[in-house]
Amino acid sequence: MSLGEVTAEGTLARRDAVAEIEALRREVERLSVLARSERGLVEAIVNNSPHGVLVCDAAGKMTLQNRAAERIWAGSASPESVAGWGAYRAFHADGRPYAAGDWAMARCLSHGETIQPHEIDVLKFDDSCGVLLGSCAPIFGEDGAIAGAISVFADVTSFKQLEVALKAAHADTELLYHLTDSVARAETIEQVFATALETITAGLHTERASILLFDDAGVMRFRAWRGLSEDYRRAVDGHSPWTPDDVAPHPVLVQDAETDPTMKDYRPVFRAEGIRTLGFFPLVHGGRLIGKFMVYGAAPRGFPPRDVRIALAVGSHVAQGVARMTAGRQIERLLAETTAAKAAAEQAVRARDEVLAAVSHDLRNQLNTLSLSASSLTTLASKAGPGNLGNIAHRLQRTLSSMNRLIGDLLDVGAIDAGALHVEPVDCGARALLDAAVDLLRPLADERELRLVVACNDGLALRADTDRITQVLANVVGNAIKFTPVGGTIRIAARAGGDASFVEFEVADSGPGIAPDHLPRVFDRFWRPKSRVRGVGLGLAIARGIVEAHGGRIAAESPPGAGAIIRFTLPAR
Amino acid sequence: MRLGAKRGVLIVDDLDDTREVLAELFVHLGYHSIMARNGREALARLQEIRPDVIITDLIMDEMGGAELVRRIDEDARLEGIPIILVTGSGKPKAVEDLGVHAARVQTILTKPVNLGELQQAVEAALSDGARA
Repeated sequence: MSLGEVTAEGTLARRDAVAEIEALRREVERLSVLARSERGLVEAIVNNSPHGVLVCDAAGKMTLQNRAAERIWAGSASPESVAGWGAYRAFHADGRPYAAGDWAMARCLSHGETIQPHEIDVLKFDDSCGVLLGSCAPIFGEDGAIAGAISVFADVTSFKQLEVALKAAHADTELLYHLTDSVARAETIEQVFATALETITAGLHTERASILLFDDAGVMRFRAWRGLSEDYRRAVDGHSPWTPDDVAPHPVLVQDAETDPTMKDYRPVFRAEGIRTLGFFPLVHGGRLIGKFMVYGAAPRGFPPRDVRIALAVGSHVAQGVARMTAGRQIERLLAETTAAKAAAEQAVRARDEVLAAVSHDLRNQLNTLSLSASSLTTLASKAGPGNLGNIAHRLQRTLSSMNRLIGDLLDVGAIDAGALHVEPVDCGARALLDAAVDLLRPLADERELRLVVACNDGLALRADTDRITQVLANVVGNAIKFTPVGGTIRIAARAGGDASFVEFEVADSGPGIAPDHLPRVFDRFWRPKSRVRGVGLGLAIARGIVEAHGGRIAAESPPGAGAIIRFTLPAR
Repeated sequence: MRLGAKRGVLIVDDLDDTREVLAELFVHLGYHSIMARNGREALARLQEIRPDVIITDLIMDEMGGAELVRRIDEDARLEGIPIILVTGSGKPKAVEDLGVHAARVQTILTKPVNLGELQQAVEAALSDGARA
């Protein structure tokens, strides 16, 4: 049965009652003026009517009262005059009690007016409340003067109760519809909380409510509230009648915190906040408790089923809203992660393309030299003497080994990127490492008339992969050679550091130094200062990879007015 | 300054080996070879001498081939000297780098350069220059 039908039936029932009362009253009026002999008929009709009938004479003395009237009023006052009608208790719409003269009977007698059917709130003789629907009309004697009055009424208390219940049900429906709609439209979790608090305070006629959710550590935390002080929230924060793994938590209703033994510990806090009543309603989503929803009252009160239903409905909506927002945030986070992963992948592709471009360019240059040298060999083989052939052969050799170095560097960079650069540290001496590197680089330094100055204590021992560290020194010193103007000096030193727990190597040149904005980039792959020197830009990147694979660190420094300094550490023996 | 009876080739490349092998080759082919390490050096050389053909690399430190071509194109005194551009980055990239000055270049060769091709390009450029 829907609400619409009930309303229509209720209205219909009331309309029928009004029509019936009117018809009955008119019939009694008509019969009352008939001959005395026919009074028996009148009384029969009146007595068998389900509606109350009262008749009085011109002085207000009750002359007739049917059984229904006595039943409806749960008694009778049998007034002797208008003043006696005061024994019938009733109230105006504004709550004022009826005076005797306020009764329709009295007004009929004094003014001769007919009072149309109207509702009156009455207090019956058994002290129960009720609503009567009644009408009243004067009775005229044969001389045309007012001879008395007749009142006919029905008890519509149950109709009124139904009407109130229907109105309340309708209001609840409206309230819940508004809640559903607002939660569905909410774009933030705060909007869900706000609409839930608004609904519960309006629906349960309370001013205080709150929403708490479990945080990541499984502790209930206040997320939204109305009418609660900060002190109170701090005092009860984290309290929950349920644990996060409660499967089917029930609402906990505390009608009076002063007498409820479970609330004993919190009484001082409740008193300070003026709280006597509390309702704890679980927020459950997907079978999991996610938080709670609280209502508070200043006076002890019960929680009728309707209040619990409303609170649970609000709780269910909050839980859904929270879950929806959380899911939304998770989707957003996943999207952000996907976007970041895509950007990283694109960056990796770009890096690979840069590698390919740089490498193919350098390899082509060397192939070009090889190709031209081979052509020269063919062309000149017949004409040239052995000296020229020696030059060409030497050039072929040099270019081939340069290509080989480039390919080796690329393989190293690939291994460093993959975290697969393998080093085999052995016990060795710093002096031997420096000597090996200097022997390797001496011809290059001589070509540019550079001095290589080595400073190292004998007996400075460390653990290192000697081939790899020679490669690091060759790259770092080779770099210094490239950047130092003709006639300059490169100082190479090794010393003990950090309580002899590591050995520090230092390569300092007398070149122009490194610009401050370039310093953070010198160890990047494929980085080289624009338009200065040749090279793919792998030397220092590989040096860093090798040093770090040993558990050491490498850094660049460029003091103002001096050349560049590269320092790196390796574990001491 | 003219370079006597022999034709002059200006070879611009920042890789020492490449520059030297080309220079030796053209000497043996009967040319006079002039070398420059980059565009800047090439422009300095062009202040003193007028070669019959210029062979230049595209990507070089200091000043690359594209900038060199632009400077030559904008210098009326250097009009009519054919230019052969050698690139390791592919022809489209070279044309893009050259922009409006691409027309100033007779031939673009990609690395690794085939000696026969280079010789043909030089001879073609010289005969074009002779007609002009």
